[in-house]
Amino acid sequence: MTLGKRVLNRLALLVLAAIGVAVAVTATWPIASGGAPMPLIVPVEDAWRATGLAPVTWAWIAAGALAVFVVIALAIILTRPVRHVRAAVDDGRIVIDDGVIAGLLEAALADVPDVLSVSTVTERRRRQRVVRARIQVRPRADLALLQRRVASAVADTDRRLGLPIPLVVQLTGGLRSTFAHERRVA
Amino acid sequence: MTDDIVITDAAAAPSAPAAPAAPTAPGTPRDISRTARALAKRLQGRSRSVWVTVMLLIAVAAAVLLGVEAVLFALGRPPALVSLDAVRAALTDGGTTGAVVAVASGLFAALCLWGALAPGRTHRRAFAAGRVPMVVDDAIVAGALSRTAAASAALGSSHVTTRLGGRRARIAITPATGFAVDGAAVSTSVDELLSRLGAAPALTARVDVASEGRLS
Repeated sequence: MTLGKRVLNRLALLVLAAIGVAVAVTATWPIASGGAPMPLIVPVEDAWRATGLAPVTWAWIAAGALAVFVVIALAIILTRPVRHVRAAVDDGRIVIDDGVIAGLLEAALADVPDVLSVSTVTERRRRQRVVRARIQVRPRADLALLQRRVASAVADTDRRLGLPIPLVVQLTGGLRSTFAHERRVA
Repeated sequence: MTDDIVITDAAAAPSAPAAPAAPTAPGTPRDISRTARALAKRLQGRSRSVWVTVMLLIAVAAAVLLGVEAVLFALGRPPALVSLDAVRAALTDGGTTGAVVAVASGLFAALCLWGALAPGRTHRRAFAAGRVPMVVDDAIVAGALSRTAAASAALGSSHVTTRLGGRRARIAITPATGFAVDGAAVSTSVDELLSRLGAAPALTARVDVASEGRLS
Protein backbone atom coordinates (compact mmCIF):
# COMPACT_ATOMS: atom_id res chain seq x y z
CA MET A 1 0.00 0.00 0.00
CA THR A 2 1.69 3.17 -1.16
CA LEU A 3 1.30 6.60 0.40
CA GLY A 4 -0.81 7.67 -2.60
CA LYS A 5 -3.20 4.77 -2.12
CA ARG A 6 -3.49 5.45 1.61
CA VAL A 7 -4.31 9.10 0.96
CA LEU A 8 -6.78 8.13 -1.77
CA ASN A 9 -8.49 5.66 0.57
CA ARG A 10 -9.05 8.32 3.21
CA LEU A 11 -10.02 10.94 0.64
CA ALA A 12 -12.57 8.63 -0.99
CA LEU A 13 -14.13 7.85 2.39
CA LEU A 14 -14.25 11.53 3.36
CA VAL A 15 -15.88 12.51 0.05
CA LEU A 16 -18.47 9.73 0.45
CA ALA A 17 -19.09 10.85 4.04
CA ALA A 18 -19.63 14.45 2.86
CA ILE A 19 -22.15 13.27 0.23
CA GLY A 20 -23.92 11.12 2.83
CA VAL A 21 -24.12 14.01 5.30
CA ALA A 22 -25.47 16.36 2.61
CA VAL A 23 -28.22 13.88 1.63
CA ALA A 24 -29.05 13.13 5.27
CA VAL A 25 -29.34 16.84 6.17
CA THR A 26 -31.47 17.57 3.09
CA ALA A 27 -33.83 14.68 3.85
CA THR A 28 -34.00 15.47 7.58
CA TRP A 29 -34.71 19.20 7.16
CA PRO A 30 -38.43 18.97 6.17
CA ILE A 31 -39.05 16.43 8.96
CA ALA A 32 -37.43 18.66 11.58
CA SER A 33 -38.92 21.94 10.33
CA GLY A 34 -42.50 20.74 9.84
CA GLY A 35 -42.57 20.25 6.08
CA ALA A 36 -40.51 23.21 4.79
CA PRO A 37 -37.75 22.07 2.40
CA MET A 38 -34.15 22.99 3.05
CA PRO A 39 -33.57 26.71 2.24
CA LEU A 40 -30.66 25.92 -0.09
CA ILE A 41 -32.90 23.95 -2.48
CA VAL A 42 -34.88 26.97 -3.70
CA PRO A 43 -31.87 29.03 -4.92
CA VAL A 44 -30.35 25.92 -6.48
CA GLU A 45 -33.58 25.22 -8.41
CA ASP A 46 -33.80 28.90 -9.42
CA ALA A 47 -30.25 28.81 -10.76
CA TRP A 48 -31.09 25.58 -12.56
CA ARG A 49 -34.14 27.18 -14.27
CA ALA A 50 -32.13 30.33 -15.08
CA THR A 51 -29.80 28.30 -17.32
CA GLY A 52 -32.69 27.84 -19.76
CA LEU A 53 -31.81 24.21 -20.41
CA ALA A 54 -34.66 21.74 -20.78
CA PRO A 55 -35.17 19.09 -18.03
CA VAL A 56 -34.30 16.40 -20.59
CA THR A 57 -30.91 18.05 -21.18
CA TRP A 58 -30.31 18.19 -17.43
CA ALA A 59 -31.22 14.52 -17.19
CA TRP A 60 -28.54 13.69 -19.80
CA ILE A 61 -25.99 15.86 -17.96
CA ALA A 62 -26.82 14.13 -14.66
CA ALA A 63 -26.57 10.69 -16.28
CA GLY A 64 -23.17 11.64 -17.76
CA ALA A 65 -21.87 12.92 -14.41
CA LEU A 66 -23.06 9.75 -12.66
CA ALA A 67 -21.41 7.62 -15.35
CA VAL A 68 -18.10 9.44 -14.76
CA PHE A 69 -18.48 8.87 -11.00
CA VAL A 70 -19.14 5.15 -11.58
CA VAL A 71 -16.07 4.82 -13.81
CA ILE A 72 -13.82 6.59 -11.27
CA ALA A 73 -15.27 4.52 -8.39
CA LEU A 74 -14.75 1.24 -10.28
CA ALA A 75 -11.18 2.28 -11.13
CA ILE A 76 -10.50 2.87 -7.43
CA ILE A 77 -12.15 -0.43 -6.44
CA LEU A 78 -10.18 -2.45 -9.00
CA THR A 79 -6.83 -1.02 -7.90
CA ARG A 80 -7.38 -1.78 -4.18
CA PRO A 81 -6.47 -5.47 -3.93
CA VAL A 82 -2.86 -6.23 -2.99
CA ARG A 83 -1.27 -8.08 -5.88
CA HIS A 84 -0.06 -11.47 -4.73
CA VAL A 85 2.29 -13.54 -6.87
CA ARG A 86 3.83 -16.95 -6.35
CA ALA A 87 7.36 -16.11 -7.42
CA ALA A 88 9.55 -14.28 -4.93
CA VAL A 89 12.13 -13.79 -7.69
CA ASP A 90 11.42 -13.80 -11.41
CA ASP A 91 14.02 -12.18 -13.64
CA GLY A 92 12.94 -13.99 -16.80
CA ARG A 93 15.63 -16.67 -16.49
CA ILE A 94 15.29 -17.90 -12.91
CA VAL A 95 12.08 -18.13 -10.91
CA ILE A 96 12.15 -18.80 -7.18
CA ASP A 97 8.78 -19.73 -5.71
CA ASP A 98 8.03 -18.28 -2.27
CA GLY A 99 7.32 -21.84 -1.08
CA VAL A 100 11.08 -22.46 -1.39
CA ILE A 101 11.73 -19.62 1.05
CA ALA A 102 9.09 -21.01 3.44
CA GLY A 103 10.79 -24.41 3.25
CA LEU A 104 14.25 -22.98 3.90
CA LEU A 105 13.06 -20.91 6.86
CA GLU A 106 11.09 -23.84 8.26
CA ALA A 107 14.13 -26.11 8.01
CA ALA A 108 16.35 -23.54 9.73
CA LEU A 109 13.82 -23.07 12.55
CA ALA A 110 12.89 -26.75 12.89
CA ASP A 111 14.63 -27.16 16.26
CA VAL A 112 13.01 -24.10 17.87
CA PRO A 113 10.20 -25.52 20.02
CA ASP A 114 8.17 -22.29 20.05
CA VAL A 115 7.76 -22.25 16.26
CA LEU A 116 4.57 -23.98 15.10
CA SER A 117 4.46 -23.24 11.36
CA VAL A 118 5.99 -21.09 8.63
CA SER A 119 4.18 -19.82 5.56
CA THR A 120 5.02 -17.19 2.96
CA VAL A 121 3.19 -14.93 0.57
CA THR A 122 4.74 -12.61 -2.01
CA GLU A 123 3.31 -9.15 -2.62
CA ARG A 124 4.06 -6.82 -5.48
CA ARG A 125 4.71 -3.30 -4.32
CA ARG A 126 5.46 -0.84 -7.09
CA ARG A 127 8.02 -2.74 -9.18
CA GLN A 128 9.41 -4.73 -6.27
CA ARG A 129 8.43 -8.10 -4.90
CA VAL A 130 8.52 -8.54 -1.17
CA VAL A 131 7.99 -11.81 0.70
CA ARG A 132 6.00 -11.87 3.92
CA ALA A 133 7.03 -14.84 6.03
CA ARG A 134 4.37 -15.59 8.62
CA ILE A 135 5.74 -17.59 11.54
CA GLN A 136 3.18 -18.89 14.00
CA VAL A 137 4.62 -19.25 17.52
CA ARG A 138 3.40 -20.30 20.95
CA PRO A 139 1.81 -17.55 23.10
CA ARG A 140 4.66 -17.36 25.63
CA ALA A 141 7.47 -17.83 23.16
CA ASP A 142 11.03 -16.81 24.05
CA LEU A 143 11.15 -13.69 21.88
CA ALA A 144 14.86 -12.97 22.29
CA LEU A 145 15.74 -16.50 21.17
CA LEU A 146 13.28 -16.26 18.26
CA GLN A 147 14.80 -12.95 17.17
CA ARG A 148 18.29 -14.47 17.07
CA ARG A 149 17.14 -17.64 15.32
CA VAL A 150 15.06 -15.76 12.74
CA ALA A 151 18.06 -13.53 11.94
CA SER A 152 20.30 -16.57 11.42
CA ALA A 153 17.58 -18.38 9.44
CA VAL A 154 17.27 -15.38 7.10
CA ALA A 155 21.08 -15.20 6.72
CA ASP A 156 21.10 -18.94 5.96
CA THR A 157 18.35 -18.51 3.37
CA ASP A 158 20.26 -15.65 1.72
CA ARG A 159 23.38 -17.80 1.58
CA ARG A 160 21.57 -20.78 0.07
CA LEU A 161 19.73 -18.72 -2.53
CA GLY A 162 22.73 -16.56 -3.33
CA LEU A 163 20.86 -13.29 -3.04
CA PRO A 164 19.04 -11.34 -0.37
CA ILE A 165 15.30 -11.67 -0.92
CA PRO A 166 13.24 -8.63 0.17
CA LEU A 167 11.61 -10.14 3.23
CA VAL A 168 9.46 -9.17 6.21
CA VAL A 169 9.01 -11.67 9.02
CA GLN A 170 5.74 -11.64 10.93
CA LEU A 171 5.52 -13.43 14.26
CA THR A 172 1.96 -14.23 15.21
CA GLY A 173 0.17 -16.35 17.73
CA GLY A 174 -2.63 -17.15 15.30
CA LEU A 175 -6.09 -15.66 14.91
CA ARG A 176 -6.67 -15.19 18.63
CA SER A 177 -3.56 -13.06 19.05
CA THR A 178 -4.08 -11.20 15.77
CA PHE A 179 -7.58 -10.01 16.66
CA ALA A 180 -6.98 -9.62 20.42
CA HIS A 181 -7.99 -6.10 21.43
CA GLU A 182 -6.86 -6.74 24.96
CA ARG A 183 -3.09 -6.96 24.66
CA ARG A 184 -2.83 -8.85 27.85
CA VAL A 185 -1.34 -12.19 28.69
CA ALA A 186 -2.16 -13.70 32.05
CA MET B 1 15.17 -2.00 11.21
CA THR B 2 18.30 -2.13 9.19
CA ASP B 3 19.09 0.33 6.47
CA ASP B 4 21.58 -1.80 4.60
CA ILE B 5 21.38 -5.26 3.21
CA VAL B 6 24.17 -7.60 4.22
CA ILE B 7 24.93 -10.02 1.45
CA THR B 8 26.54 -13.05 3.01
CA ASP B 9 29.55 -14.39 1.21
CA ALA B 10 28.88 -17.97 0.19
CA ALA B 11 32.56 -18.82 0.71
CA ALA B 12 32.23 -17.98 4.38
CA ALA B 13 29.98 -20.99 4.88
CA PRO B 14 31.59 -24.08 3.46
CA SER B 15 28.79 -26.34 4.67
CA ALA B 16 26.22 -24.50 2.56
CA PRO B 17 25.47 -25.90 -0.87
CA ALA B 18 26.80 -24.03 -3.86
CA ALA B 19 24.72 -21.00 -4.70
CA PRO B 20 22.69 -21.31 -7.90
CA ALA B 21 23.72 -19.35 -10.96
CA ALA B 22 23.20 -16.02 -9.28
CA PRO B 23 20.05 -14.43 -10.58
CA THR B 24 19.95 -10.68 -10.71
CA ALA B 25 18.80 -9.20 -7.43
CA PRO B 26 15.34 -7.67 -7.90
CA GLY B 27 16.46 -4.15 -7.02
CA THR B 28 19.22 -2.31 -5.30
CA PRO B 29 19.82 -3.00 -1.58
CA ARG B 30 18.37 0.39 -0.72
CA ASP B 31 15.17 -0.41 -2.69
CA ILE B 32 14.90 -3.83 -1.05
CA SER B 33 15.25 -2.35 2.38
CA ARG B 34 12.75 0.40 1.67
CA THR B 35 10.19 -2.02 0.24
CA ALA B 36 10.48 -4.36 3.23
CA ARG B 37 10.26 -1.43 5.65
CA ALA B 38 7.15 -0.15 3.89
CA LEU B 39 5.48 -3.56 4.19
CA ALA B 40 6.48 -3.81 7.88
CA LYS B 41 4.91 -0.42 8.49
CA ARG B 42 1.74 -1.42 6.68
CA LEU B 43 1.44 -4.57 8.80
CA GLN B 44 1.20 -2.32 11.86
CA GLY B 45 -1.89 -0.56 10.51
CA ARG B 46 -5.18 -1.96 9.28
CA SER B 47 -5.81 -1.46 5.57
CA ARG B 48 -8.80 0.71 4.66
CA SER B 49 -9.06 -0.88 1.22
CA VAL B 50 -11.90 -3.24 2.11
CA TRP B 51 -13.79 -0.40 3.79
CA VAL B 52 -13.33 1.84 0.72
CA THR B 53 -14.39 -0.94 -1.64
CA VAL B 54 -17.62 -1.70 0.26
CA MET B 55 -18.61 1.95 0.59
CA LEU B 56 -17.81 2.69 -3.05
CA LEU B 57 -19.87 -0.32 -4.17
CA ILE B 58 -22.88 1.02 -2.23
CA ALA B 59 -22.35 4.47 -3.79
CA VAL B 60 -21.95 2.94 -7.27
CA ALA B 61 -25.22 1.01 -6.84
CA ALA B 62 -27.05 4.24 -5.93
CA ALA B 63 -25.35 6.12 -8.80
CA VAL B 64 -26.25 3.42 -11.33
CA LEU B 65 -29.89 3.46 -10.19
CA LEU B 66 -30.10 7.26 -10.46
CA GLY B 67 -28.23 7.25 -13.79
CA VAL B 68 -30.60 4.67 -15.30
CA GLU B 69 -33.62 6.64 -14.09
CA ALA B 70 -32.14 9.84 -15.57
CA VAL B 71 -31.60 8.16 -18.94
CA LEU B 72 -35.14 6.70 -18.92
CA PHE B 73 -36.53 10.13 -18.05
CA ALA B 74 -34.50 11.73 -20.88
CA LEU B 75 -35.81 9.09 -23.33
CA GLY B 76 -39.39 9.64 -22.13
CA ARG B 77 -39.75 6.08 -20.86
CA PRO B 78 -41.42 5.05 -17.58
CA PRO B 79 -39.08 4.69 -14.57
CA ALA B 80 -37.51 1.30 -13.83
CA LEU B 81 -37.76 1.42 -10.03
CA VAL B 82 -38.35 4.94 -8.76
CA SER B 83 -39.01 8.16 -10.66
CA LEU B 84 -36.80 11.24 -10.33
CA ASP B 85 -39.83 13.13 -9.00
CA ALA B 86 -40.17 10.56 -6.19
CA VAL B 87 -36.46 11.01 -5.37
CA ARG B 88 -36.92 14.78 -5.21
CA ALA B 89 -40.04 14.35 -3.06
CA ALA B 90 -38.15 12.12 -0.61
CA LEU B 91 -35.52 14.82 -0.19
CA THR B 92 -37.80 17.85 0.05
CA ASP B 93 -41.18 16.71 1.42
CA GLY B 94 -40.18 14.64 4.45
CA GLY B 95 -42.54 11.82 5.43
CA THR B 96 -41.68 8.18 5.95
CA THR B 97 -39.63 7.89 2.75
CA GLY B 98 -37.66 11.01 3.68
CA ALA B 99 -36.97 9.57 7.14
CA VAL B 100 -35.75 6.29 5.64
CA VAL B 101 -33.45 8.17 3.22
CA ALA B 102 -32.16 10.39 6.06
CA VAL B 103 -31.38 7.45 8.35
CA ALA B 104 -29.76 5.37 5.60
CA SER B 105 -27.57 8.20 4.30
CA GLY B 106 -26.68 9.30 7.85
CA LEU B 107 -25.60 5.76 8.69
CA PHE B 108 -23.61 5.59 5.46
CA ALA B 109 -21.88 8.89 6.27
CA ALA B 110 -21.08 7.77 9.83
CA LEU B 111 -19.54 4.51 8.57
CA CYS B 112 -17.44 6.39 5.99
CA LEU B 113 -16.24 8.87 8.64
CA TRP B 114 -15.38 6.03 11.00
CA GLY B 115 -13.43 4.28 8.26
CA ALA B 116 -11.54 7.45 7.36
CA LEU B 117 -10.72 8.71 10.85
CA ALA B 118 -10.34 5.60 13.03
CA PRO B 119 -6.66 4.95 13.85
CA GLY B 120 -6.72 1.36 12.57
CA ARG B 121 -3.82 -0.01 14.60
CA THR B 122 -3.29 -3.76 14.43
CA HIS B 123 -1.56 -4.10 17.82
CA ARG B 124 1.72 -5.21 16.37
CA ARG B 125 5.18 -3.72 16.70
CA ALA B 126 8.38 -3.91 14.70
CA PHE B 127 11.76 -5.25 15.72
CA ALA B 128 14.83 -6.02 13.65
CA ALA B 129 15.99 -9.59 13.09
CA GLY B 130 19.33 -9.30 11.32
CA ARG B 131 18.74 -7.51 8.03
CA VAL B 132 14.96 -7.92 7.94
CA PRO B 133 12.14 -6.22 9.84
CA MET B 134 10.26 -8.52 12.22
CA VAL B 135 6.68 -7.55 13.02
CA VAL B 136 5.34 -9.16 16.19
CA ASP B 137 1.81 -9.34 17.62
CA ASP B 138 1.55 -7.42 20.91
CA ALA B 139 0.16 -10.56 22.54
CA ILE B 140 3.42 -12.37 21.75
CA VAL B 141 5.49 -9.50 23.20
CA ALA B 142 3.31 -9.48 26.33
CA GLY B 143 3.75 -13.25 26.65
CA ALA B 144 7.54 -12.93 26.37
CA LEU B 145 7.61 -10.23 29.06
CA SER B 146 5.41 -12.38 31.33
CA ARG B 147 7.69 -15.35 30.78
CA THR B 148 10.83 -13.36 31.63
CA ALA B 149 9.23 -11.79 34.72
CA ALA B 150 7.93 -15.14 35.94
CA ALA B 151 11.34 -16.78 35.47
CA SER B 152 13.11 -13.93 37.27
CA ALA B 153 10.65 -14.04 40.18
CA ALA B 154 10.73 -17.86 40.29
CA LEU B 155 6.95 -17.99 39.94
CA GLY B 156 4.49 -19.91 37.84
CA SER B 157 3.08 -18.22 34.75
CA SER B 158 -0.35 -17.79 36.38
CA HIS B 159 1.16 -15.25 38.84
CA VAL B 160 2.17 -12.75 36.14
CA THR B 161 -0.02 -10.55 33.95
CA THR B 162 1.30 -8.15 31.33
CA ARG B 163 -0.61 -5.31 29.68
CA LEU B 164 0.93 -3.62 26.69
CA GLY B 165 0.21 -0.05 25.67
CA GLY B 166 1.73 1.94 22.82
CA ARG B 167 5.06 2.60 24.58
CA ARG B 168 4.56 1.10 28.03
CA ALA B 169 4.26 -2.38 29.40
CA ARG B 170 2.79 -2.93 32.83
CA ILE B 171 3.71 -6.20 34.48
CA ALA B 172 1.65 -7.18 37.52
CA ILE B 173 3.07 -9.90 39.76
CA THR B 174 1.16 -11.66 42.51
CA PRO B 175 3.72 -13.43 44.75
CA ALA B 176 3.22 -16.91 46.11
CA THR B 177 2.23 -16.69 49.78
CA GLY B 178 5.28 -16.77 52.03
CA PHE B 179 7.82 -15.98 49.28
CA ALA B 180 8.94 -12.40 48.69
CA VAL B 181 9.52 -11.18 45.13
CA ASP B 182 12.47 -8.91 44.34
CA GLY B 183 10.73 -6.32 42.14
CA ALA B 184 14.01 -4.58 41.25
CA ALA B 185 15.55 -7.83 39.96
CA VAL B 186 12.46 -8.56 37.87
CA SER B 187 12.54 -5.03 36.52
CA THR B 188 16.21 -5.39 35.56
CA SER B 189 15.65 -8.66 33.71
CA VAL B 190 12.64 -7.25 31.85
CA ASP B 191 14.58 -4.09 30.89
CA GLU B 192 17.42 -6.28 29.64
CA LEU B 193 15.00 -8.21 27.44
CA LEU B 194 13.49 -5.00 26.06
CA SER B 195 16.87 -3.48 25.26
CA ARG B 196 17.98 -6.72 23.59
CA LEU B 197 14.81 -6.78 21.47
CA GLY B 198 15.15 -3.11 20.51
CA ALA B 199 11.50 -2.27 19.89
CA ALA B 200 10.76 0.75 17.72
CA PRO B 201 9.24 2.91 19.16
CA ALA B 202 11.04 2.21 22.43
CA LEU B 203 9.08 0.24 24.99
CA THR B 204 9.50 0.72 28.75
CA ALA B 205 8.20 -1.62 31.44
CA ARG B 206 6.84 -1.02 34.90
CA VAL B 207 6.73 -3.91 37.35
CA ASP B 208 4.08 -3.89 40.07
CA VAL B 209 4.32 -6.49 42.83
CA ALA B 210 1.09 -7.07 44.76
CA SER B 211 1.36 -6.59 48.52
CA GLU B 212 -0.58 -9.77 49.22
CA GLY B 213 0.38 -13.12 47.85
CA ARG B 214 -1.76 -16.11 46.96
CA LEU B 215 -1.35 -19.83 46.95
CA SER B 216 -0.56 -21.33 43.58
